[in-house]
Amino acid sequence: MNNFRIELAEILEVDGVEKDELLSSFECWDSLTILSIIALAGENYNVTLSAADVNNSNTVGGLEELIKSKRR
Amino acid sequence: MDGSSHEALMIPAGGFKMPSSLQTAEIKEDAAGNFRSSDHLVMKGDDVFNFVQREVPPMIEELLLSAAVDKKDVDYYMFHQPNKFMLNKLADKLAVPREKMPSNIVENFGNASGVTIPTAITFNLKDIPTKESLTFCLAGFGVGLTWASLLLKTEKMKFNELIYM
Repeated sequence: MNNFRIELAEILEVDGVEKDELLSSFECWDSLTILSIIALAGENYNVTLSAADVNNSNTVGGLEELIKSKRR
Repeated sequence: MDGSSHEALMIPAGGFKMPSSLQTAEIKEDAAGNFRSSDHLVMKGDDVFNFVQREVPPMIEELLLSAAVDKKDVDYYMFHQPNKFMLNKLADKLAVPREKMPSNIVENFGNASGVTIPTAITFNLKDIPTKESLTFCLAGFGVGLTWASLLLKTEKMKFNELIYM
């Protein structure tokens, strides 16, 4: 998961992301961004997420934890 | 198809189960802020994406295995194109070079459902299939949810033109 925040920042079209940042606060936050996160989780971490999973994780750190928990 | 994901891509009203009426035409706002009525098409994009990523790659692997055809010996993978994003992710997951799986139909013609497959062949290959025999892997997937694939060896085709009406 070392590169996760770099990968996420790329999807969110920003230079970097912090643990406590709200996902919905990013300017480019929309359904295609959510789909890109679902694709990232599947491709790089072999985890299947739903749009509701992503939305309910709320923050960058929440999303990170969600993917970690599903990998176990 | 097994019908278990019929709600992922459907028009709720307009059939015998829920005939169209004034009530089904009523426009409401959903949780994501979209406005639509039960007469409109609704798609759960995440469910459809996960379905395609889950079902299509093993279907193709199984098809090639049963036909004893190597992945690299297929000249073109012409798949239904719901959108560029989904198709590119599918090519990556199947480890098929993107040039063997063109994904330029939606940007030129929109998503015409299963018709995107022959459109991909005519638009991208032009007269190539009239000059040589080719091996195609075709696949369709979507509403139902349903998924199917076909391996096709063509001799020199008589024509492969796109006719604009």
